[in-house]
Amino acid sequence: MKRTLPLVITFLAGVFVVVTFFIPREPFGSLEQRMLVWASILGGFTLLLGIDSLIKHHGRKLARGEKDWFYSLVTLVGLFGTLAAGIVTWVKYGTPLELASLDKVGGFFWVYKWIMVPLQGTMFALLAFFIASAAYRAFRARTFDATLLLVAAILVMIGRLSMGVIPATLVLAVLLTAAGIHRLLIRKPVFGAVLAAAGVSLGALVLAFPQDAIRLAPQVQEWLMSVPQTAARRGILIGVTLGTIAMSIRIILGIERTYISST
Amino acid sequence: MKFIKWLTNIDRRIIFLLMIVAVLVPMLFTIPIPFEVGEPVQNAFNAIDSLKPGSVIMLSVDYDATSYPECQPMIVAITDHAFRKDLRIILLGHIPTGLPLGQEALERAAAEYNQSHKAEYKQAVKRAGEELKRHTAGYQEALKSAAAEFDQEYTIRHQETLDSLVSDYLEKVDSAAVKFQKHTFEYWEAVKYAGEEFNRHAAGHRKLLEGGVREKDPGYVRILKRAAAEYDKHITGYQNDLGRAADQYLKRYGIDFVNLGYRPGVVAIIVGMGREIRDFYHKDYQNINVDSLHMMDDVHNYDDIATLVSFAHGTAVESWIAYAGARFGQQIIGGVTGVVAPDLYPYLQSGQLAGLLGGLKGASEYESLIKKKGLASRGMPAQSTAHILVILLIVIGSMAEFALDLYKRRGT
Amino acid sequence: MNLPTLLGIWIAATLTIAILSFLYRDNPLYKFAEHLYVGVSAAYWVIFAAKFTMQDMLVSVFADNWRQFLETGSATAFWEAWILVIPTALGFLMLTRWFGPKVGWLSRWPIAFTIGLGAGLGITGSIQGILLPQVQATILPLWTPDLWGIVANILLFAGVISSIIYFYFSRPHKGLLGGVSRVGITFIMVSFGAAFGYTVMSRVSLLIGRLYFLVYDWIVGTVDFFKALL
Repeated sequence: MKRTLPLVITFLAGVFVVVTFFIPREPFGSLEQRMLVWASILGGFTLLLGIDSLIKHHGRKLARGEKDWFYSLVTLVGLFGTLAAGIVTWVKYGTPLELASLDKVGGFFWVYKWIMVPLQGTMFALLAFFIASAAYRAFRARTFDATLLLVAAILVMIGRLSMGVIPATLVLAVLLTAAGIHRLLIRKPVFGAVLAAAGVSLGALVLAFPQDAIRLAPQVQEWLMSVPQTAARRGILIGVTLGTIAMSIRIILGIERTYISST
Repeated sequence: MKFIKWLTNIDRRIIFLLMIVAVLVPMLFTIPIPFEVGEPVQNAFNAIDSLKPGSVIMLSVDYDATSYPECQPMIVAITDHAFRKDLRIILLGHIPTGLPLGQEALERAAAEYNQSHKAEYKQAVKRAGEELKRHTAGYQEALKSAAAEFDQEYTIRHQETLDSLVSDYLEKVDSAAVKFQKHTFEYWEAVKYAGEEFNRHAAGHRKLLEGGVREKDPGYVRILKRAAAEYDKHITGYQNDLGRAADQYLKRYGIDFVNLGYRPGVVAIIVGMGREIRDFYHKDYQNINVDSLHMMDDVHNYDDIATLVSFAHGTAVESWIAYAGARFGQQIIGGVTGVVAPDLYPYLQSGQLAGLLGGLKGASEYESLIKKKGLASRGMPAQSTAHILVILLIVIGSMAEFALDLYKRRGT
Repeated sequence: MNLPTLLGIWIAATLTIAILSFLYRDNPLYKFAEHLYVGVSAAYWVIFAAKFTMQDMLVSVFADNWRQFLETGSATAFWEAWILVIPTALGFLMLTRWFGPKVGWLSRWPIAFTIGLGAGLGITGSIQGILLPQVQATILPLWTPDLWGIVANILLFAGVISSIIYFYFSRPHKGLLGGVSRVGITFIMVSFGAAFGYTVMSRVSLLIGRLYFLVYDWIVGTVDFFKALL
C-alpha cells in the first residue's frame, strides 16, 4: 500500500498516456482528457500544501514570543488580511479578480497591485545591483575562454543599446588592447599580439566608420545569438532532453522513486 | 598602486549608487531614439499582422511581477496591435500571481480602444436614432391621417403610446452609453435589455391596438398592420445599426476578448486544450459560463486559434512548443525576458517559434513597429546607460587586475 | 486618480524603498517587507486554488451537471457530476501531508498519478516536440546561395556536435575527442557570454521598472493629484 501501489499507479498512468499518444482513438482520447483534467485539479490542491507549515511556523513563533515574533505577526497579518480581501471581493463581485473599473479596483486586486507587485518586482530588481557588482569583481579576462565569454557578453550588450554604441565599442577595444599588452608583458607573445591587434583594429575601424558600427552592432548581436549561441544551446538542449526521456522512463518503470520517499 | 588596490576593493555600495544614477538620470529626460527592428521581432509582428480580421489569438500570461517591466510592455503592445487588426483575444495563464497583470493590460487596451473610438461610436448611435425617429415620425403622420379618415380616435392614443415607447427606448440606449462608458460588456447588456423590453411592450401594444379596432373596420386594420410591419422593420434596422456600430467601434468582453483565468498543471492543460478548451475552462474568471460567451461559440481547440503568444519568464514557452506546437501544430510566438530569450533561439532557427520578443529591447522594437511609444521605449535610454556602466565596470575591473598581476610578478 | 489609488501608490512606494534599502544593509524595514511578501503571496495561492480549482473545476461543474440531470434526467450529466468525487478525494489525499507522516503517506497516491502522467507526457513530448525537430533543424544543406548561409550552417552543425561531445562524453577528453571538445568549449563560452549579456539586460530592466514607478507614478503622480485638487 505504502510503496507498491504508488509505483503501480505511476506505471499505469505513464504507460496509458504513451499508448494514447500513439492511439488517440476512443476510448483512449477521452479517458486521457479526463485524466488531464484531474491532474489539473490535483495541481490546485498542491497550491495549498505549504500553507499549513507556514501558519504553524509563524503562529508558534508568535505564541511563544520568540525573537523576531513581530515579523511573524507581519506575515500572518499579510496572509489573513489578503485572504479577507479576497473573500470580500469574491462575495461582492462574484470573482476575487474584479477590476471594477480601471481606477476603482476590487480589494483583492488592490492588494495585488500595490503590495504584491512592488514587493515581488523590487526583490528581483535588487539583482541588477548584484549583477553589476559581480561583473566588476568576478569577470576577468584571464584565460582565452574567459576572454571569449567576456567579449561575447559585451558584444551582446552593445548590440542591445539604443545609444552610445561608439563609446561602448571603444571601451571594448581598450579592454582587448590592454589584455593583449598584459599577455605580451607576461611573455605570451602570440595570444598577446592577436588580442592587441584585434583591440587596436576594432578601435580604429569604429573611429573610421562610426555610422557602420552603429548599423552593424545589432546585426553582430543577432548573428552571435542565432549561430554560435544557438549551436551550443542546442547541444545542451539535446543532451538535457535525452536525460529527461531517460528519467521519465525510469520513473514509469519504477527505477526512479525519490518522489515516493520524500514523504 | 594604492589607487589600483583601492579600485579592486571598492565598497560595493558605490557600485550600487552608480547603478542608480545610470538608470535614474536618463529617465528624467526624454531622448528620441531610432530603432532598428531585429528579425525575430519583425517575424512576430508579421505573424500577427497577417492574420485575417476576426481570427482568434491566445495570450498566455506566463510571467509575474518579477518580470513586469519586460513582459508587460509586450502584452500591452500585442493586445493593442490585435485590437487594431480586429483580432479576438483569449487570455489565460500558467502563473497565478501574474494573471492579473495580463487582465489589466487587456482591459486597459480595450478601454483605450473604446475611448479613442468613442466619438465615432456615439456618432453612429446618434445617426441610427435619428434615422429611426425620421421614419417613425412619417408613420405617425400617416397613421394619424388614416385614423382621422376612418374616425378612429381611440387607436391614435395607442399609437402615441407606441411612439413614446420608441423615444423611451432611444433614451435608455443613450443613458446606458453614459453610464457604462468603461464597462462595455454591461453596456451592451443594457442596450440589449432595453431592446428586448421595447419589443415586448411594443408587441403587447400592437395586440391591444388590433383588438380595439378589429370589429370596427377591416380597412383600417390593414393600414395598421402594414404600419406595424414597417415599424418592426425599422426598429430591427435600428437595433442592427447599434450592433454594427458596436462591432465596429467597441471592444466588448465576451465578444472581442475573454479572460479564461488560471488553471494549475501546465502540461496537462496544454495537451488537453488540443481536444477541448471547455474541459478545463468551464467558467471564465468571473464565473460566466464559457458556453455563454459569444466569442467562444466557434472556439474549441487549437484548430480555432490562429496564433498563440506566451509571455514568459520561465520554461512555459518550451512547454507550449513541445506540446501545443508539435502535437497540434499550433503557431507560437514567444514574448520573454532577457534571461529566457537565449534558451529559445534554437526553436527560432528550427521554425518551431514563429517569432520572438526578447527583453525590453524586443518590446521596444515591437512598440516601434506598431508606432506607439510605450513603457519599453521610454525605458530604453536607461537600459543603454546601464549597459554601458556594466561594460565599464567589467573593463575597469579587468584592467585593474592586469595591473595588479604585473605588479605582483615584478615583486617576485 | 482617486484616493485609494493614491494610497496604494504610497504604500507601493514605501515597500519599494523598503526592499531597496537592503542594498545599504539588512535592516528591519527590509525584513518587514520580506515577511509581508511571504504572507500576502501565500494568501494569493489559497484564493487562486479556491477560485480556479475548487470552484471552477469542481463545484460549478458539479452544480451545472447536477442541474442538467434534474432537468433532463440525463445519465451522462449524472455521471459527469458524480465522477468528480474521484479527483476531489485524490485532492484531499494530497492534503494529508498537513497531518504529518502518519497519514501523510496517503499523498503518495495522487502524487504518483501526477508524476506518472507527467512522465508519460514527457517522453512523447520531448521526442516529438524537442528532440526530433531540433536534430532535424541541425542537418542543414552545406550549400546555400550566399556565403554567410554556408558559414552559418557549418558553424551550427559543428557547434551542436562539439558541444554535445564536450558535455556528455564522460571519457577523458584526449586526442580527437579532446580537439572536438575544445571546439565545443569555444561555442559554449560564446553562449554563456551571450546569456550573461542578456541576463544583465533583464536585471537592469527590472530596476528600470521600479525606478520608473518611483519617479513617475509616485512623485509625479502625487504632484499631479494635488495639482488637480487645487
